Amino acid sequence: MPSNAAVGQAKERGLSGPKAARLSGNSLLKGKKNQLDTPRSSFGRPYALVIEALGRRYNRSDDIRVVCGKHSPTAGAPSECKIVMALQVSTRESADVTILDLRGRATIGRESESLKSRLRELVAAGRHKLLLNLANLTQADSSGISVIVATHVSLKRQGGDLKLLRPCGRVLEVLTVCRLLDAIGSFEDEAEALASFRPRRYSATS
Amino acid sequence: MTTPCSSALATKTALVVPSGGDVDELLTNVLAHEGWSIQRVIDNHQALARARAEPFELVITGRKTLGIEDIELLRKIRSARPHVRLIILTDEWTRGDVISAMREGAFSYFSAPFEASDLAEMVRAAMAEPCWDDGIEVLSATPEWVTLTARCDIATANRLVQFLHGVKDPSIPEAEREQVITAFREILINAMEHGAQFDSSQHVEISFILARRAIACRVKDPGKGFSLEELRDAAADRSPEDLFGRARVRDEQGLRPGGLGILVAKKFVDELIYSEKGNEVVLVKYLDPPNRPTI
Repeated sequence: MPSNAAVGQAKERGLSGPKAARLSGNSLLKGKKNQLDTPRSSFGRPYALVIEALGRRYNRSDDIRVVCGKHSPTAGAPSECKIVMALQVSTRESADVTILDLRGRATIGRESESLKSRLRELVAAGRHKLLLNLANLTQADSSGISVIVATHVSLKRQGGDLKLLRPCGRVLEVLTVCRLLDAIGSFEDEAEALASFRPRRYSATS
Repeated sequence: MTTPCSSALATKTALVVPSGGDVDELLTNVLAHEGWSIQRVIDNHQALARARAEPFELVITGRKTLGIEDIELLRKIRSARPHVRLIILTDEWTRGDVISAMREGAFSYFSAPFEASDLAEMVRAAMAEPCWDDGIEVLSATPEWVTLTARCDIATANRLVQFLHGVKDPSIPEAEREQVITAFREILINAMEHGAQFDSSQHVEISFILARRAIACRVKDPGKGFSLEELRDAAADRSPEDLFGRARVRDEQGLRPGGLGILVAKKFVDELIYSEKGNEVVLVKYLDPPNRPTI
């Protein structure tokens, strides 16, 4: 260890933890668990444990909190049991809208490539209304965001649309600074998001 | 700097010092799913004895030991087993510990609090990474100024970023620290991609400087650089309509939307300054709001 690195260590020791008060994670987690509506998985307990654990944050007092503080997707388990893949994408349908539940990170490399190819497959298969559920996406960099922007642009050109559901944490921050939330369309409620894909109807009195 | 990489791993065994609770559960599941066997020891003393007696591909320390104790373990294990990958988990750390961990060749460093997903991903990277020994080299370091080189590949970039997450300096507000890391990661990836085409035989040079009222990062890539016009164009503060317009044009050309990395970086720091050649950039984040210049 360099001697200069050692200087001030004693001073730093007592200050090593973040000052910010944290929510009581255990109670929060229990509350969120009650909200989950995850269908039964055909995968074994280890799979479920890791997936559940990936949404947690460990701090020094062993409290646990849900990073996003929002919801887990109501989707079934991913079609491939690759528990430590950095990005998992599972799809489900609601009428003519395809909902993609993203879990993990959409960052440069195989993750954003995987997202891009999945989106391309869907568009090529004629699925032109896509809703990306970002509730469990923990990180997105410019590469992941550019895949979303490119797909949004491509779908718009084909008369389709792509919208976002429940972005949070770091992902929300990046989307916000790029001013993409309003431009693409982002929702907190899934039913509201799905309704936004339907053509607007006006009554005679409106 | 270059050390020969370990050959293909015939056996895959991880040596784990328990942290307790969910962390152990997570590690067990991640490792077991990839077909790794796990040997547990109760403390660093036992870990050292076991690691000296038999080879392990991966060692993960427990959170309850001090970061500096884990570095001592790392140093001793690597003197006997130079290519072992060691991930440090700790509740008690210092800025100097993180620097020492990089210098001594830790694979990664997690100081509490940390994200479970980040730990799982780094364990996966440690299991998958075929060659990492010379990925990060600390050239010089004081607690305020660190200069290092990083190999031009995404895995090394992710490892370096995780080391930065390990420096939870209480003098830097968490939100601002995260913003600097996000901006730095974008610039680092840009440098590796555009300056070296992710050629793992090349390196970027990086400096971090922590002053009383600012954080600065300098990244120099081995490439020819961009023209200032290109950089100005990429860094322009575009409206979403502009972004979509550009994305549309690039989509028609079969290209992904460009310039987002610089845009994101620019939004998260106060200054982004390129050299004339365009292959060096300095990011500055001011920590004292009243003294921030108007951008």
